[in-house]
Formats: sequence, structure tokens, C-alpha cells
Amino acid sequence: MIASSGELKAIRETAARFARGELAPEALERDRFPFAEFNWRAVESLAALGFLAPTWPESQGGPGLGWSVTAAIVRAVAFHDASPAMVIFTQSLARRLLCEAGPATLEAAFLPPPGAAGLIALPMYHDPDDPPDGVRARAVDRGFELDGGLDYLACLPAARAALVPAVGDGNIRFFLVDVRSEGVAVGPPAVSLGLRGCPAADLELKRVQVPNSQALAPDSAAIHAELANQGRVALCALVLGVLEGCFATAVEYSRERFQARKKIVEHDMIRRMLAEMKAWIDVGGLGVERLMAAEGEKAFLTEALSLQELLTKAVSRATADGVQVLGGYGYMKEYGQEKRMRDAKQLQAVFGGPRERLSRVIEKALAEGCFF
Amino acid sequence: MSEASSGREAEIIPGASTWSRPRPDAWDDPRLFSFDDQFAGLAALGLVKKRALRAARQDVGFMRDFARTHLRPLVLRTDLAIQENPSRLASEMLDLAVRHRLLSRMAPRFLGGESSGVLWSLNPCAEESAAVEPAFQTGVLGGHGLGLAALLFTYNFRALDWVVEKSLAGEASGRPFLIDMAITEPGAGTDVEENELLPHARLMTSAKNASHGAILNGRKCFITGAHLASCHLVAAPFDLRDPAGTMSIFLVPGDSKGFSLGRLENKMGHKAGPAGELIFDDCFVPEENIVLDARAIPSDRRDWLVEMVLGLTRIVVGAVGTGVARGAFEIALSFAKNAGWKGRTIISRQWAQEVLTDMLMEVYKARAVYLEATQVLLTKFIPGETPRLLNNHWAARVYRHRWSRKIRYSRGLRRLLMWKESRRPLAERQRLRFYSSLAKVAGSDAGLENCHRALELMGRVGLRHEAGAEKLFRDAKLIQIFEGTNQLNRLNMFKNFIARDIPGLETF
Repeated sequence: MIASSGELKAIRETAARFARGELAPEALERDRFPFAEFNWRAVESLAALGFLAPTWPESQGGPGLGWSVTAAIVRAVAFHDASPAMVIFTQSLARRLLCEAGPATLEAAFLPPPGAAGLIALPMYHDPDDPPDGVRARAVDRGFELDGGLDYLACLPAARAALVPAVGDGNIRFFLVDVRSEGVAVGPPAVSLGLRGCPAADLELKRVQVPNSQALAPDSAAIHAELANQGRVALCALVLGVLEGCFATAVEYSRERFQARKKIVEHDMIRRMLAEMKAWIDVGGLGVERLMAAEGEKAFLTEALSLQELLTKAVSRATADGVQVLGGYGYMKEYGQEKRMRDAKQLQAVFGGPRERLSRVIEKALAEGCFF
Repeated sequence: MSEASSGREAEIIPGASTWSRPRPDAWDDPRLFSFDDQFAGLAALGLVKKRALRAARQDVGFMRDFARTHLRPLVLRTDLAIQENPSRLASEMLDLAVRHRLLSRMAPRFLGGESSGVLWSLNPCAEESAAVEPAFQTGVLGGHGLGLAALLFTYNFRALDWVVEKSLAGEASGRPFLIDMAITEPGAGTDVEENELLPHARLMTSAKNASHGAILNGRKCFITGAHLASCHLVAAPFDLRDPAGTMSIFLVPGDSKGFSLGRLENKMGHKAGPAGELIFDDCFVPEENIVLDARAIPSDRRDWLVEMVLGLTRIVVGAVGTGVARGAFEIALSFAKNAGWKGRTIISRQWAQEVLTDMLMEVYKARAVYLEATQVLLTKFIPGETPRLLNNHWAARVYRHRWSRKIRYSRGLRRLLMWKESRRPLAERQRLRFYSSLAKVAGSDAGLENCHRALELMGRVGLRHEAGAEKLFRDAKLIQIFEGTNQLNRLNMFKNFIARDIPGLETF
């Protein structure tokens, strides 16, 4: 499960090579979704590499790798294009949840293995510690009936199935829903600020029948929260990858652009912005590495949340500076820099706020009662 | 310690760094905080009359109503349509402007327009429209406004009259006639926005003499309104080795031989405001279209144009930034009041109340700055109001009469006005440069920061196009970049206020 540093390095290099060669050339065009097609081919290629859901267990035929490996992969991918990185993160979480909280009979379910045909949607953009209660589950003969609605599920426009939290017996549990089932209505793809290659849509369920084999364990909401907490290391790594790409572009441009009689990289104000980007790459990198080293331990869960909050906020500001360094060109789509600003803000707005989440950091600390 | 309190010059201890020893009067520099510097806007107290205040109220009321009732329904639709098809133009917004006679409202009555002639409301109106669509004032109408400002300060009234008359006639006939102002080039953005940097700018567009005119060659890029304009004002030097000394302004109709429109930029936001490329390939400009020939102006009177134009337009941009800050606040407030989570509205939460209050503070801070800058502009540089005697239809008839044209178009008047500009005290000019840059930076920074906060507050709901928040976020960023990047504007502020009393200090 936990990779050695040699394995990690090899995986990271493979992911970087793949992203540079296969994802980067199409990144801008795919970002036009829904005005361009979803990147099915990238999903298939990632699946072939075993990168689509690295956490999918070996018992199911998957790579059986941990969150650290996922973190290394998404960081390398996000450098070139954050959207496929987000798809990887989403599928990693979804497949792990299915395996850890799903019944054994899931093997016989309708869902193909990870790939273009087997994408799973889930409410990624909601707080995992506070799942939405918009869908109600009622026990019926040999299964459940789901009724209600959920907004903004990640990957839904391209998904075959959705992992839906629903309220039943005063308890929230997850259900695996086939989007082709009767009563399921998938809304039009949302036009979002960023991460457009990992699109979201709303889901409406009207008396959808779900067999017992597609009902996850009664404590699946807690398992989901636990997995999401563990997965924060990958989220932080993803955000870091975006910043690293932004920094690389900003440095390259500022070394070539002449204004006020010198290369703009020689102007202190530009250097200040570049230095802050680099400082956050360094600090974020330290945090991610520490979390990766602590994989499997219960420790550092609040630290992971704190890192996520501060890193996503810092990167949202730093990528705006990344556009500023490129001046007018930074604002033009073809330079790819404005996309990072949008992707970073998308990441921060869903994973970095609202402020309530930060208060959970202090709640836990106060409850645990130890500060040193 | 005792040395400092006695006021004697402190002894320098051999080997110690003189930096570490504060000068006795380091915190008492009256020149930096003079009354005229700090309270420049108080001078406006003596100027505003009841009539002007009434007119300003009406102007702002009109713009607020126009923006919210007529402009708002087009905003999201237009942005989405241009996302889908980046070669599309926001023609519906221009048509809307024409239908509501907004171009006429930009020109005073003696010029044949409908403006009240009260400039106090110019920037508040810019804020009102920007709160709904930032790209309306600075994009759809922005090129035209910038062009008019530039024309005005060339003191070439023949050209100005021609453009204004054509734009009014165009509006009346439903076929809008707009101009734009082309300065930026692929190799020179910051460098053309500052007189001191111009000598070293890597320009590629230049003019050369021709019989009865001039010939232009080169390219301009990122020109606001290029694809909506019928006529282009182009800045180009006659000698690339001396751009500051020979930078001239040319009027190029869109159908000129040797002129073509190049690419239409695909931008992050500000979609309604087209940014285009102008291409000049042996483009002949007849003599009467050489609006300003720098070689004909004495060297000590050449640099007012960029300074005056930017002095005016940067304040407008500051108001636009403030409008963005306000628009973001309004969207966030509406969301917080109506959205809830498991039984509680967002606005009932203290953390949301803090965010919203911080956002409102940003709006008021930025507004205070641009209002003050406006007061500086209108007390010393441009009259805040045109006297009623001059701003009516009778005055327009006098204005159009051939005798009054003769005087206006005379070289003598032009020389007189330029001479007046060159006599303007340096301290006044520095004050305008400082305040206009200040307004621009404060407004644009407030705009982006409020958009950041709005998205943080709204989460996944704010990220969806239909909420309008993410669009404002995309729009806000450009305001920190155009009209001089905020970095350039900071250097401008430093140079004109802080460094003016430190001789020999290198800035830029």
C-alpha cells in the first residue's frame, strides 16, 4: 500500500511524462467544456496506466496504492492541467469508498472498472464532515427508494454511476446509483470558473429504486469522511502542482520580457511576486511530504485540514500574481496562465471555504485539549 | 539617545552603519504631508453648487436605473455566448447603449450632446455601470471614451468636432460610430504608459513622411474596442530612435487602404469589451488626419498629453474597480440572505457577517479614494461643471457657427492652450499623477479582493456561471493590468509624491 521512495519517484516521473506529452497539448481546448468535449481519451489512458484510481484495491484488480502515491501523481499532473488531476482525485476517493464501505455483492454490479465507461460521480464539493441531506432513502422490498436532489456532483456529466448520500432512519448513508436508472435526472453540465475538465452537474432522484447490493454500509458516511480526511494530502499536492506550473510559466516569461530597460525578472516587484510563489511551493511541499510520510497514521488530520485551508488560499492569490507577472498576456487564454488562476480559485472556493471549516480546526483542538 | 533629543547631528561612529541610526527628524517630514497634498479635495468645497449636485444625482440615478433594468439582463448571456464563440462581439450591448443614447450623454450640449455638463457624476456613474457589467464602461464604450479624452487634450478641435458629430449622428441613425485609442504594442505595454520609459520602448509602429500626409507601418495589440470602432486613433512616432520626441497621433478610418483589423483576443473575462489587433501596412494618413504632430510642438510642451489622458482615465478605472468591488458585495449579500444550510441562513453566521462587512469596507475605502482624486481633477484641471449659459442648444448653435469654428481650429488657440499646459506648476501635475494612480490601484485591488471573498463565501454556488460572481472575478483581474499595471502605477505614485523631494533618487 505504502510505496517506497524509489517507487514513488518512478511513478511521479511517469505521471509527469504522461501529463506533459498527452495532457498539456490539449489542456486549453478541453478547458472549454461544455463547449468542447470531455476528455474521454485522457481518462482511458490514465486508467491504462493505473493512474485513474490508484487507491483501487488489488483485491478488485486495481493498483492498490495509497494516498501518498495518489498525491504524487496528481501533483505531477496538475502542473500541466488541474482538471484530469481532479478526475483522478475524485475517482480515487469514489473507488476507495466503494471498496471499504460497499457490500461484497458490488462485484456483480453494473459498474465497469475505472475507465471512461466507469466514472463515478460524487458530491466532492460538499464538506465531507457535514454531508448534504437533500436525498431521502426509504426502505422498500429488497432495497431502497431514493427521492430528492443534490447539487454540483463532480464528474456527473461524464459518469456512469453516482455515490449519493441519503437520509434514512435519522442516519446518512451512501448509495451507488446507476445514472441510467429510471427516475434519475442529470442536469445540464454546470459552467464553472475552473476545473472545467472535471465537470459537475446537479442530480435529481424521483423514487429511484436501488437494490440492497448498491446500498453501502450504514456507517458509510463516516467512512467517507475518514477517507476524505486521508485524501487531503492529495488535494494539497494537487493545489501545489497548479502553483508549480504557474511559477514555471511566470519565471520563463519574466526572463524574456523586456520593459523599463531590463528583463522584468530583474525588477524587484516581479521578483517579490515570484519569491512568494516559490516560498509557498517550498512550504506547501514540506507540508505535503510530512503528510505523505505520516500516511496510515491517525495523526495530522487537523494539520492536513489547516494545510489545505492555508495552501488553497495562498495559491488562489499567488496564481493571480502569476497572471500579473505576464501582464496583458497573462489575461489571454492562449498563454495558459489565467487557467491556473481559475483552477486555483475553484479549488479554494470548494475546498478552502467557507470559514466554518476553519472553525472545525479550532473545535478539534479545543476538544483534544493539548496544544504542545 | 541624548544626541537625538538635543537635535544635533548625530556623530557617526566609525564602522557602524549609518542606516541603523535614525535621523532625528525621520518622522517629521512636512513636505510629504502638506495640506494641499492631503486635503486636495477640500478645495472642492468652494465649487459645488446646488444645481450641480442636483444634476449629479440625476445622472447617477439614470445610470443606476439603466444598468439594473436594461443592462443586467444581457450580462451573463453575453459572457456565456462569447465563451462559446470567442469571435463574437457584444453587439447587443452596443445597440443598447445607442438605443438609450449613452454616446450623446458623453458629450455636453454645446457639442450637440445630451450631457448635463456636470463632471462630478462621471466617476460615480462609472461605478454604477461597473457594478453590473465592468466591461460596459471600459470595454464596449471604453475605447471611445479613451479616444475622446485623448482627442480633447491634443487640442485639435477640428478632429474632436468631427468625431463627436459623427458619433452623435451615428447614434441618431442607429449605426454607431465609435473610435478607439491604439497605444499598446506587442513589445511595449508598460513602456508606453509612462513618459520616462518611452525613450527605451521597443516599438514597432512608426510613421514616415509622405506627400500631403504620412505613412504608418506596424502593429498595435490589445486595443479596447478595436472591432467595434469605425475609426482608430493611433499613436506612433516619426522616429523610432526618438519616440518621446516624435510620438504623434493619427486618425485612421477603418476603411483606409493599408489598414486591417487583426486578431480578436480570447480573454479570461471582460468578454463584452473586445480587445483587438490593428495592422498597418503602408497605410497612408492624409495631412488633415494627423491629429497631433509632435515635431511641431516645442519640446518643453510635449508631455502633457499622456499625463492628462491617464490623469483622467485612471480615475475612471478606479471607479470601475470600485464598482466591481460593490457588485461582488451585492452578489455575496444576496446569496448570504437567501442561502442556508440545514436550517440556518448563511447571513446569520458571524463569520459571514465579518466577511460581508470587510467587503463593504473595501467598497467605501476605494470610493473615498476615487472621489478625492476626482476632486483633485475637477478643482485644477477640468471644470467640474459647464456653466448653464454655455451648455444649452443656443450655445450649440454658436459653437457650430463658422466664426467660432475658425477660432477653435486656429493655430493660435492651440498654441495658447499648450502654452497654458506647459505653465502648469509641477506640484499640481505631480498631484494629479499621484491621485489618479492611487485611485486606479485602490479601486482595482478592492475589486479583485472582494471577488476573492465573494467566491470564498459562496463556495460551489458562486463558482457557477449563473450566480454572476465568478464572472466578476474573471473581469476584476484585468483592471489591475490595463491603464498601466498596478506595479507601474505604484512606481508612478512613489515618484510623484515620495521621491519628488529626494533629488537623484532613481525610479523606473
